[in-house]
Amino acid sequence: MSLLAALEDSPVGVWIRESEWGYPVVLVCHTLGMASLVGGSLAFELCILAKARPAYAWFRTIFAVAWLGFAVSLISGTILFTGAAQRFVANPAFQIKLATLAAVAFVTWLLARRIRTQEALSASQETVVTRCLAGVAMLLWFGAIAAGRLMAYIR
Amino acid sequence: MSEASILRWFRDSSYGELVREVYWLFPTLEIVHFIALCLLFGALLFMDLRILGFSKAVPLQTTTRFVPVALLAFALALGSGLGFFCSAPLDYWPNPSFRLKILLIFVAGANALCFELFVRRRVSAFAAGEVSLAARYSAALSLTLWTVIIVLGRVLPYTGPSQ
Repeated sequence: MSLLAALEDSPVGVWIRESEWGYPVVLVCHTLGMASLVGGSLAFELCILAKARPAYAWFRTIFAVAWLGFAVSLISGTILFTGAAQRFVANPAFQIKLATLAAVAFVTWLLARRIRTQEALSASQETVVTRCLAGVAMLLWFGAIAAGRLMAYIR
Repeated sequence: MSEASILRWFRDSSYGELVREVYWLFPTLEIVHFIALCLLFGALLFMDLRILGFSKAVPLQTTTRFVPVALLAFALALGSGLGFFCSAPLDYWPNPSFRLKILLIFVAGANALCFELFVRRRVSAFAAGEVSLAARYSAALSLTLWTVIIVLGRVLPYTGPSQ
């Protein structure tokens, strides 16, 4: 636990707790990161689910936005975490959020790999497995958002 | 009807009473609001980035299939957002972030309507090629407006008069 305490005492941890505008500004960044990452991912997964997959080149544009959103979410999330590391780690909603995000990262990796290797396949031939992966990824995103929101209520 | 009586009408509505009394309803509406926000932003990214000129090889018709998704997501965000408002309209209404957010939602709606009425019909005439300058302005405005709307929603708790 001393590592978590050290994080809280670090300059970043102290700044996010004590600065008047630090917390809302970083929180806004976290929300915009979420909108880009989850929004881009959901749009991608909906295309697969609806058998309306466009050319892979288009997904690359969406993935670029999602990656940018991921970077922003990760950095802002880490800053928010350092402000109260010990409390976050003990929060069951935070634990569920992190586990759900790890799962969605894995499922998205599997899905993106399938899409890339089946580039020649026409969208109408989308396999059941691919569509299931897309559906599971969407549900996991919903779970991660729910857990993230509930962190404010469960202490 | 005066401003105060309209606000009281929202407060005394059965939806407002429900959100105040059922303890798990507010967080549930928050979750719906956040999921809808992501879905709406994602659908807009899909359509607006294509119109802005990324991946010209993709037919515009492929991306505009997200219009119903955006409309459904907006309906979910509106329904859940109305629940927050009805639970405490007298707190939300004086908040400058809230007022600006609502105003910008109307501007974004007008922008989408103009695009639908004046631009999209002509856009479909182009197979996969160029998009008019007006269409690109409209797409850039849409992404900018919704980004600001998300920001305003998030800072709402920090800009209220009681803060």
